[in-house]
Amino acid sequence: MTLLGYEWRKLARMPVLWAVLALCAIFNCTQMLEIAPYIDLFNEAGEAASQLGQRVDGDFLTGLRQREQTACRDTLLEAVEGMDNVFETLDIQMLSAYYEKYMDSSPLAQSLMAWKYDMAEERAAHLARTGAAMDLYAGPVTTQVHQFLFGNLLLKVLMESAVLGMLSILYLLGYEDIQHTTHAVCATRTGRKLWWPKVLAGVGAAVGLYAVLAGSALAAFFTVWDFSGIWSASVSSQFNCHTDLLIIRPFMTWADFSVAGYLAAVLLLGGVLVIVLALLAAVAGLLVRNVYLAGLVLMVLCTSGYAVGVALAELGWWELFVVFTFNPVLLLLEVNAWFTEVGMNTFIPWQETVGTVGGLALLSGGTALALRRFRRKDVLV
Amino acid sequence: MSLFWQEIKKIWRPGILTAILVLSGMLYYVQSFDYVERMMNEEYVISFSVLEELFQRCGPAVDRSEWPILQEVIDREKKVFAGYLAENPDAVAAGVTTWEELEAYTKESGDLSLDRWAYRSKTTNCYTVFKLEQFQEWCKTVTDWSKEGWEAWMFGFYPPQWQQRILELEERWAEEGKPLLYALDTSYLELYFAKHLPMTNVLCVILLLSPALVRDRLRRMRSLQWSSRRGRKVLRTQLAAGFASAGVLVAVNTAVYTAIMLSTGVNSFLDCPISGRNWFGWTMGQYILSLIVLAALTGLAAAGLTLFLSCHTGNYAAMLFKAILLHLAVGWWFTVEIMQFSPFGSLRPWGGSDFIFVPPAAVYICVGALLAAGWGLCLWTCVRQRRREL
Repeated sequence: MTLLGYEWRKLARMPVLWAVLALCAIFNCTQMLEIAPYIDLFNEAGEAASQLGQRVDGDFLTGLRQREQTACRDTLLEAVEGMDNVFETLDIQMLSAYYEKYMDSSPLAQSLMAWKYDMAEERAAHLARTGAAMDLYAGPVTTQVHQFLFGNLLLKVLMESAVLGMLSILYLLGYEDIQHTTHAVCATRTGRKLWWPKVLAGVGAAVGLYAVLAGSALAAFFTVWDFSGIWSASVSSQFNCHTDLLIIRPFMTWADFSVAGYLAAVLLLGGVLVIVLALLAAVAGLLVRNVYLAGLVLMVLCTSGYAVGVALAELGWWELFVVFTFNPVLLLLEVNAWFTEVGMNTFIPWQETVGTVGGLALLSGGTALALRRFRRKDVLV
Repeated sequence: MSLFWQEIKKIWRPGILTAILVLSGMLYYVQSFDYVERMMNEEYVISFSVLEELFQRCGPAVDRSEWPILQEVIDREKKVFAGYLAENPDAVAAGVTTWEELEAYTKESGDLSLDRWAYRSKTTNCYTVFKLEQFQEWCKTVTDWSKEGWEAWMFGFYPPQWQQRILELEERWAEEGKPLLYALDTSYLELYFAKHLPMTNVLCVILLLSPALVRDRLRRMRSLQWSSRRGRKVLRTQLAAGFASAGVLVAVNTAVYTAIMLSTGVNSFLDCPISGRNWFGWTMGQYILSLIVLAALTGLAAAGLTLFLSCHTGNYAAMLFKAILLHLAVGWWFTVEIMQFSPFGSLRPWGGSDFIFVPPAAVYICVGALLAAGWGLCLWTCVRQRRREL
């Protein structure tokens, strides 16, 4: 059995890990009760879309009027009869002016915001041409369902996976200390190299835990919420919107995404983000030899990833804030609006992707340096 | 050095204390600082000096005979607001010179810019006038629960005991006058002492005590400890040191939180009866004290549970898992649920419209049960250890 396998076996023998995993999976499933009131209207929209397609045009309206008359059908009909191509009249520059005024003390932040919204204006024009806003998605309950799936359920899955992954890595890195075998293992050259497989095993475990949590949560969600008529819908439907600083705006993505494509992209980027946070734990665990203190350091780093951002925005230190918005914790918290202009917390298009990939590169390098340092460290101290 | 102080020294580690300080500071900044700043700068709240003036002239409640005093203060504050309007070029250009003209202008033109300036610029006494008018409206309102309307509709969902209490309070207020504290938004104080403080207590206690007994298991100290003169009673001393440390930490947290909030000036109103529908007819000071006691007891309950888990965990990573779960269960979920019970005692099932009545002392019973659970588990551990094989 390879060293990786042995490390995974050590992790598998930790009962509390499985207990927490089960609790997280159960908790994620109970969250679905939150949007239970919307299921009837959602099902009506899904069935209509399966039968009539996603694009709301004359044929769609005719077909919808011919469906069996119910309260949900009437609500849906009322909502779609008033649809128009919102991207044709969307005032992006109003958003740009609002944020620029907010950050008026920093020319750098203002120019980046202006550039981002210039790009967003081009996207709005493209979406107007394709008519993405005329897709039904889930009708009047689209925002609630979409924000629940991405802003609540997947956010919790990501946070749980990140925490479990980080603690798993800390456990593996501190395992030899628990068994009092550090001195024996580290005395040999091969033994010192053991920490590489530990980190790899930890990262692999983090991804595995993410897959289990995401799989179980999404399986439960899609069992109850039938998306069969909705997968091909554009996420930029006019029924889908998100809010930043109390301003509601359409869900305008930087590329054309169907619901299925958007979900796949979010899951993929989420997996990479979990790896980034696991590598952060690896660096902390290698530099701070005490597992508990390393855990506290991670808590401080992750909490400050949010709190410092809030402080910088309050103080109006926008240059620092621009740099700070690339940290993985703030990126994770914006999962409900990934691949859109997001709002105040992003300054370039695709910032969550750039930030995650950049974080991966930075922390991979950091982990390599930490491992190199560990190889020469005096473990008696 | 006695064993007790040695155990205290093992618990109070500089690295852990630094992390607790930084984390609780960040938690305070993110959760509570905004409210404190608003109270200190009198932003989005009524002016404390105006409220104090009314308190001195009318007492803690304003009855019918004192309405002219209230009107006099409102008129004076409106004149001050008119002064702010006169200095605003946009208001002058729009021909808005008084409070009433601003309301009419906003309603007729749909232009919210002046309204936003008044409420959000933090340079006017807009909130003071707004809160005083709101209070005056409330003083003059006599709710007829039998008539149709939104309030009567909501009244129908309340449990009978709650309905009776509302009617009793309204009868009392009709005789004695309505509590002045209605003009001050006390929801900030409730949130601060009933949610933020217990969360911080629980977090700090869990972080401090989690490694306390894990360390001994990791270093296989039990055989050495049991073979000493103290023998198996060592655990008792360790638990006592843990509880003492938790008590000190909770006391420090409480002192800091209370000192900061009282320095905003709310201490002038501690003798005022609270205006919300409460069971016990407390003053604000008594209510805040009860919340502080609940927060402290929650922290001590968390201490018991943490020490119990620490005693039965063999490594730091597993303890961190348990610590996170414990904080989520006690520091977040339990605290949020308890806040629902306070001060009126009610429970609304998820997705339901009816309220389920819970007894007024329910919150104290719940916290007491948690405390008993934590300390009971520690006691059980001590008793069990006496019979355990090495």
